[in-house]
Amino acid sequence: MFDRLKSFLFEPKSIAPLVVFRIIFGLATFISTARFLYLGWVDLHFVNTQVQFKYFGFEWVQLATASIMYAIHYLMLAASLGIVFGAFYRVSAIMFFISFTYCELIDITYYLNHYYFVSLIAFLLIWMPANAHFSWDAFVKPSIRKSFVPAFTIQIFKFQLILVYFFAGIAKINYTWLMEALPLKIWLPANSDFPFIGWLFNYPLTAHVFSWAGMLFDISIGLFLLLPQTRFFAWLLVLFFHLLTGALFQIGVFPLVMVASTLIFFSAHFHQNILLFLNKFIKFPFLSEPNYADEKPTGNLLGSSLITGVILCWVSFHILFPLRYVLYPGNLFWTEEAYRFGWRVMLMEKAGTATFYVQEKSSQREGVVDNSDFLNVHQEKQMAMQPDLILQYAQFLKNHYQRQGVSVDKVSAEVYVTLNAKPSKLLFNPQLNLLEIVDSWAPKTWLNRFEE
Amino acid sequence: MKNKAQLLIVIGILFIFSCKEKDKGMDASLAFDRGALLSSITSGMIMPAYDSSVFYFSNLAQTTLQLSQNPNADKLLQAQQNWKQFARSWQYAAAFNFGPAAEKGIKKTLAEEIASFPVSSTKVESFILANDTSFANFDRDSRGIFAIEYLLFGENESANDILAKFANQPQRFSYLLACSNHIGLNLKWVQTEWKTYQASFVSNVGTDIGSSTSLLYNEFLKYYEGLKNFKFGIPLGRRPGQTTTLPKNVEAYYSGYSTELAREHWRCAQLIWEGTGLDGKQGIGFKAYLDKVEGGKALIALTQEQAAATQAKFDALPTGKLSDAIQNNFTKVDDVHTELQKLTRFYKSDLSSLIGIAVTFSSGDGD
Repeated sequence: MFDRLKSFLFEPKSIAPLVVFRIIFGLATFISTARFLYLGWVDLHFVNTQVQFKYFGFEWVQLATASIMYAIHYLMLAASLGIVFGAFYRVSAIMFFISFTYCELIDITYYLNHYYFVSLIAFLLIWMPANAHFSWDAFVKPSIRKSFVPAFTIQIFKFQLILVYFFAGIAKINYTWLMEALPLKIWLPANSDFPFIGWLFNYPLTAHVFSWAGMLFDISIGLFLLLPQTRFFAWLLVLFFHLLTGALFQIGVFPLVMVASTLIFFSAHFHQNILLFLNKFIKFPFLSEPNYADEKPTGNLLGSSLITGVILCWVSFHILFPLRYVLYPGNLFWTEEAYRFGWRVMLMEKAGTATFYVQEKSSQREGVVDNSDFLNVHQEKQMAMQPDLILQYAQFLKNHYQRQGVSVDKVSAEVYVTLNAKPSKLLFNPQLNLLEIVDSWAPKTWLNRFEE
Repeated sequence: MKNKAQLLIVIGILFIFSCKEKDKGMDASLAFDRGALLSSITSGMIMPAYDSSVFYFSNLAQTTLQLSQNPNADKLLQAQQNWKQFARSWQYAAAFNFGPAAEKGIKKTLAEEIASFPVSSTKVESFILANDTSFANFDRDSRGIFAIEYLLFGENESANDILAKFANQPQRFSYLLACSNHIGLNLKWVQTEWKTYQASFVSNVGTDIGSSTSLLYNEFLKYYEGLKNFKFGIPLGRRPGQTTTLPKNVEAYYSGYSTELAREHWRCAQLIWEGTGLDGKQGIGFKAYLDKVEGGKALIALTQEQAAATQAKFDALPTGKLSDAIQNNFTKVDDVHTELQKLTRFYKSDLSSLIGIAVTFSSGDGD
């Protein structure tokens, strides 16, 4: 079994798909970073901020000064280009991975599944010989040139992509999504000004059709992308699906990333033609020329049990980690325990209003916090419905007011959350002293149960 | 291939028919015309609010000018009356602090530029002493509506005291007129701009960030929370770290007109939600929008129930100065704050969630 896996992973494959993937990924991260700078989000996220909500276990990650944050973003632009052209490739990939992941780890309220995806891909790219062909590195150092690479260097990216879709599909298999067509029944009518088909969005039937179609698409698209007979049609569907959701919803660069990345499913021949085309019509005199005259090596490339084992661990982890939610009691959407890092995307309409009360020790006087004194609208919105962030904010308030000379002995909060258009309910007992609750992996028993 | 095409056509026809069929049976009423809401609010509230603000401002500007030319108790009284009328009408325009009223460069929003409170009497006096009417500073609490109020009403001073101050310090009038001029420039500019802006405002019917519905909603919420936090919360000493009440921090402390203004503020928020025009004509507001969306009817009922409870507490506010009531009748004022607080979620997360309005620029999780 292990040997069969090893021979599958180390079967020699044309390097072309990996090279095209490198180029596309670098371009996508370049565009994404440029867009981030252009929209002024460095200021919004990293400069004009008083509170940073931390990732569990990454509380030590600190925000740097404004000029350093800008420098990091320019570094990301440079590293992206390094990836595109395969120039100083390993250094570029490492720099990109570290700087991108660092920026993500600063404030969890900006968490997005596709940022996690980009971090994972960037990490994987560090280890892949994606610069061994049609690259600056191979131009200046011909000895690194390769036409064939072990299969795993390409398959691992397909695995990551399929995972995203499949888990997104699994997550949609629930009563609310399929039978009540929620939240699409909220989101679609809000887009009734959409060109040509907007009027259809006012019909609940459309929400039902979209809900089922979305679920079936996510569940099955991985398989159809894998099968050569359906691949082209499946990719057209991917294109259509992402163009539509990209136009409908405020989801940033995600559609671009997915449409571009899924090209990796196409044949080696297809990718070879892309590279030949690029080489012919846009001259890159500083890149090594693509050349596919080499004989395919017979047998497997030097297989390594160690690498096979590492891949096995990686794959198992990424299959199991999103499933950890089964270990928690209660409604996943309500408690959000194990919600992140699970490819749960656009799955629920949830919002909260959180009013915090800070109690002074000697006078027992209770003050009401105006969240907008400390948080921007986005941070407040995210915090007001996520229990772990509520605890972090309570700690922040305590520290803040203690620095102001108030001796705080209790921070409580009245948090009303609405989930999928249901009347809002208290997330937990407003009398609880949030300072006494320690966040952990353990189930959050302090939350109220979600009642249908 | 041919079979597949036929199958697709059949499915397509069935789909269209099922749509037609559902028109009758299924609730097809999710359709809400955001354009109608925008045009109703624009013509029923926004334009009249700015127009009447400018109208009452012009009256005030005229009487302050006359007062400066011929200072006497009658003119002072008239100026005070006109100030009250203008301050009342401003409560309505303040709800629409976007579009032409939005922040531009170093210029803050219209409401911040001309209606910051509490005003700093120390700053006002020192600018007067220096005869500095340039407003070339960021001390927005030294000018605007409430600086005029301070100059016209004084702090517990008689008409003679106030007139004497003007008489002893001629540049006091210059400062008063400069404040009035500054308000006029800003307010009239926004009013004029709204006339051209309204067409594009009404036609931008999306719900994404920057869309008209989202602007209207987000400013409505800020406006509402401003009432709760600044006109009640801080004066009541309800912020963490506050150890006492701050009665002087109410809006319109010097005129003692705070309760009336707060009532207008509250009424305007109600009108926007209900969709009622300033002339009392029923138009289209957030309530009508909610009526068309999933879960909306339940939210309407809950909102109205809490709004009625809040109204009752407003009705129970003692007559006379709010700053006095905070000291002598704390509970009655605090009750208003409490009920406003309870109402917040119905306007905040519940409303925006049900109608699917974007409240932030940041990207959501894509699918």
